[in-house]
Amino acid sequence: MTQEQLLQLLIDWIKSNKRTSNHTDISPDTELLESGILDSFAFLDLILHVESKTGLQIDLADADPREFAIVRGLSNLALKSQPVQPCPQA
Amino acid sequence: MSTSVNPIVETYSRLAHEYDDEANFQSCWGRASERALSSIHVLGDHRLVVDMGCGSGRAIHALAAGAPPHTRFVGIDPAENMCRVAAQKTALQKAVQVRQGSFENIPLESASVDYLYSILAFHWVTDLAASVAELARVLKPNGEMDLFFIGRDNGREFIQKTSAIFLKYMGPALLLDSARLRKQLTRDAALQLFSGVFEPSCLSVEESFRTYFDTLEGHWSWWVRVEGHFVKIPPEKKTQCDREVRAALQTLSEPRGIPYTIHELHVRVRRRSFI
Repeated sequence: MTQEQLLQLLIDWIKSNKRTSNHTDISPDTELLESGILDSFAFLDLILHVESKTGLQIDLADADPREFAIVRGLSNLALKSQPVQPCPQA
Repeated sequence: MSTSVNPIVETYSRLAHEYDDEANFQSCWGRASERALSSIHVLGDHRLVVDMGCGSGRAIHALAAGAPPHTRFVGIDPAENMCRVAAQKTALQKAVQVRQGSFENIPLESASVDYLYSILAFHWVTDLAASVAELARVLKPNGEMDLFFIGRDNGREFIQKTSAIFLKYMGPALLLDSARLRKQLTRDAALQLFSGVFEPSCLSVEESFRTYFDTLEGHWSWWVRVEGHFVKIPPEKKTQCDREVRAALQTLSEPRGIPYTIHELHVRVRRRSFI
């Protein structure tokens, strides 16, 4: 998946699931948490959505808090992630 | 809640002896709990009544005091010290027992309970499906139930003001781990969850949004209840984090005080049979 496709995936989900009724344009530079567009529960749902659509497993352990809450930063984080490993055969 | 290592259970257990402080009782949570309690009625044909997440025993103590003499009460809580406090509080009430247990593992026989209630505890479960299955297991076929717990949009004013601060001090992984500790459902999700086990014609899920106003110190008095979320913030950062959180909450202040909106779900089961 290209960065443009990933950004669009994020933006589409956020537009459909934002926590505020304010009319807010969602762009790659939109801050999501302090603005109230998403809360931590919605972030959990968004990450599950991205992982299910891309097959990536997003590792938050070393994520930069300043980037995490911005659409483009979240996209970059996902792009650095590894595909989900299939379970080894018994 | 699991009785193994669980930061929420540990925090409640640690705070058990100060749980009945007047400040806590007067807080928005104290007032919401009293409101829920006032809607609970033990009937004459309720032989066994259970309080899930009984905490310090405030509700079971009050209900048992006014109940018919043949009604037995069991209070259940996963926090060891809460059980001790509740047992002390009800020591003179022979009809009351307190046991350590959780929604996921209720220490009662199947089909033994006439009436089960829970006040603001169910959102702390670790396994929703297992918990609902346990509730169905212990209730008699004609058993009744009232569960009050917080919903998806609880405390939205505070969440918007403080999430970015917690992100800064906890980092993304811990912040989302903290969110996973609470099972805050929408009304529809709660209805779907309970409909899988309880007959829909006997089940209802109501929701309410009530805004409580208080001083910063008044709200801070209950903040201890969510401390379990933040135990992984290093101590040297915790002080600065607290300072920023307090400053952020203060910006919400208006003439009536600082608002906090409790989104409450009320799952009610009345005379029913299993699917």
